[in-house]
Amino acid sequence: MSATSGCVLFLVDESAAMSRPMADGHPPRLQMIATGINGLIKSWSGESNAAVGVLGYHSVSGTPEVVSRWAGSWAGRDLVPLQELAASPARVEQRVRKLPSPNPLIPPVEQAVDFPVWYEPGSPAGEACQQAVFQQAQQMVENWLRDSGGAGQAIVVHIFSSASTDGNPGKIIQGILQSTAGNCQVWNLHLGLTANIPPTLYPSTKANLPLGTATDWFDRSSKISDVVLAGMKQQKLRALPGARALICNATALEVFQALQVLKQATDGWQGVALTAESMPIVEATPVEEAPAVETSNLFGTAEPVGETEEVTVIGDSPEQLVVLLLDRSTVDPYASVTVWNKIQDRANDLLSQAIKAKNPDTQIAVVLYGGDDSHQAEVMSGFQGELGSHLYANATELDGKALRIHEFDEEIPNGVGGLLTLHRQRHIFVEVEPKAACSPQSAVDAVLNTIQDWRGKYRGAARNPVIIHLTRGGHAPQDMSAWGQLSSATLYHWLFTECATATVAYPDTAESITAPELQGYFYSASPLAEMSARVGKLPKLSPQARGLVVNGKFEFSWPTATT
Amino acid sequence: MPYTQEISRQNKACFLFLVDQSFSMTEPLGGSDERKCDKLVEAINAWLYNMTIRAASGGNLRDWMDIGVIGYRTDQQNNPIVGPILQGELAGKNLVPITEIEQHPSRIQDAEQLMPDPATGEVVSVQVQVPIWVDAYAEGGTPMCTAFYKAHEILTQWIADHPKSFPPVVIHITDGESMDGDPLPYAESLKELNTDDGNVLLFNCNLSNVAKDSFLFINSSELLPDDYARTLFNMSSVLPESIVQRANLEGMNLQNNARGMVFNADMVCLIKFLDLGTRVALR
Repeated sequence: MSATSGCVLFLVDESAAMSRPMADGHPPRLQMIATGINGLIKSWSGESNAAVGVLGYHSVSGTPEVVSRWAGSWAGRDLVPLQELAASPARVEQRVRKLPSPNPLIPPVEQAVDFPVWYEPGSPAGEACQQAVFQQAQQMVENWLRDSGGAGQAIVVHIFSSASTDGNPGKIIQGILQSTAGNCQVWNLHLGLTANIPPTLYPSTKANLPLGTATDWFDRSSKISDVVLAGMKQQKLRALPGARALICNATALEVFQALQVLKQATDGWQGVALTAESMPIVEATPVEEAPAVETSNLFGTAEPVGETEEVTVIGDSPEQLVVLLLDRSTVDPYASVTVWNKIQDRANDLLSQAIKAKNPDTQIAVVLYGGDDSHQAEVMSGFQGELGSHLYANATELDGKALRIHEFDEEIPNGVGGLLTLHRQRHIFVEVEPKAACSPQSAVDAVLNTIQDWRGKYRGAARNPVIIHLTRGGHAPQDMSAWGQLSSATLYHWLFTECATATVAYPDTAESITAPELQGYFYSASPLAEMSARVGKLPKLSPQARGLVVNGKFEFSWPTATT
Repeated sequence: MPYTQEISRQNKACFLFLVDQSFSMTEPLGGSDERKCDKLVEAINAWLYNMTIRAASGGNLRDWMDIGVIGYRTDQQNNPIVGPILQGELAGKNLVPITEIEQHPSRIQDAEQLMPDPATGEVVSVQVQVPIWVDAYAEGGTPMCTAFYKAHEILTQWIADHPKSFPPVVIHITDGESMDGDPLPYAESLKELNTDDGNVLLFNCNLSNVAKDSFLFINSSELLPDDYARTLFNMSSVLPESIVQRANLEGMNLQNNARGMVFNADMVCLIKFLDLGTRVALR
């Protein structure tokens, strides 16, 4: 068998979430992944001479950082042949391996082992800039394949726990797969939050996959070859023909097993000497500026979207349901910055404010919707992370259950012509990628189900459920009738347009909205009078004013425990 | 609200396994070389072991649940054989307190367990000793209706003795088609049994030789591969709210009206499936 030129490029998430323990309670994720990759390099030695690279990635304050993580004398290199690595580890650590005794009453057997280290991860912090790292990976792999004379094969192994925060990386990954003419595979290993969530291992079809990470990453993962599938069967790993190189909610055992499968897939690979040209300098990828949004305001003051003030909501009984209905669609879901970033931030701001209100009587639900590439709707009801897919949760339950907390500085006018810098915290509960457009009908059905469930539980609740619909406003005219099905609740629309559109807040006629395509939202928006207690805090409004804001600040805040 | 009764020595729980022992269970699980009957008993023994550990936590052995494992098959003359399959000292008993289960495994067996080694990144195989209560056995046909009839008989008596308890949970593990009629009315009749805290819950685990991805707790039978699986789906209880809440607390993404059915679940999924219902009951 002739030798195959090969390269394996690891892309390792170094966002703050990687400092948490593995799903099965083992040491912090990034530490375990480093052990797994260094262990793999050690076991590869002498059996393969593929070129290997490890890129760590994260972004801090919106600035992406994608860095080669070789340690010691290998620092700064990108793709290094395994034979070179094997001859010279950065250091050798003395570690203690603990092997459980067959009898649980007897302590584990301890063995001292020498553990060579080549790859050293950075400190986990910030967010996950997946577009930036896949762009870098594409450049490196294309250069490497070109230098291999077209005979090489590459595998990009992406190991992550967070959702992308610099846009949907799907298009870049498809670009890698297409531009490399089948010579590059992409493997995705997603780390779970808890061992109690059943993992998704090597799925062969999208049917019946849980919505969320598994569904999103299925099409971004390569099919496993028949040869590798046969080897997996010998290891008693169940994978069917057509299985994708994808594991989700994985524990340490499943990640290490996947790395063994990777070793098998690269058996016999040979490295290719790299020219200087083929070794790109790794640099931070600049972030594109967010699209400009018109902020002129009908009330005469330009206000930054986001921060809200105390406002009370009417009702006689304390219980109330507030549904955040979030439209994930954008014109180009693969852009690095989309209107979804803004909608997601505002949703997380609303949830952070709900926590501050500390009102156990307010139940909060989150429903997300967006389309796949064929515009089929995907709807997710509930929360990510520790709250699972709770249909709804109150502020007390939300506290401490965010996926992570994002700290940032914000400059606001100080009232005398200057700017004041405030340090803020945003509890991140919603962190998913943008999607394509779709009909909102499935989302409306999901909201109705949530309301029905809530009404069943809180039969005495006098307050009408409130739905805050955050959207870019791109629904087709024939889909606008769907909103009418939510008329039993109070429905507010908060629009963030992708094109510059004049700000409108609480209009009393449809014609007040200058963009004709947005006027349809007026008719389904509930009258603002339903929030009577808060009207006094706003500039004088017409009695016919509707709960609709375009490109402005929606003055919603949560009833506190004492209101 | 139903399905909220605290489980205690005074208000015990009841878990009844109905285990298909027909000859087809010797076939491999879809996409695997392992026999369905071996996977099945591996899961039940692991679950029983887990339950005994939990019953023993805190120093005292808590007598808080009764467990039965009923096998069903036919003999060579096609006569149904339906009865308890716990081995050793427990043989012949329909329902056994967890304290007796803990004290009377039929034997202790060496087993291989894969573990991640956080020191080296390797997957290491370690020898462990595990207790065995149930052995794999397979012959004849699938008298599913008779099995449900037997379950009805056992649980009627148990409910009469424990009217305030969390309702019994029936976990039916099979690879397919009933050979003694339509099991749906029998399953419905079983699910109509109730304690003060709710109706009997019926979970179905379909071990199929159809090579399809495994999945858990779906809310639609649309994508199931055959009529047998669809029948099991229709037989399965809609997961009660307390179970859905518990599962969602654990981070699962259950859809509305999800049913207590899993398809081609591998060892990990099956254990989690069994554990999930149990932990709900043991709140």
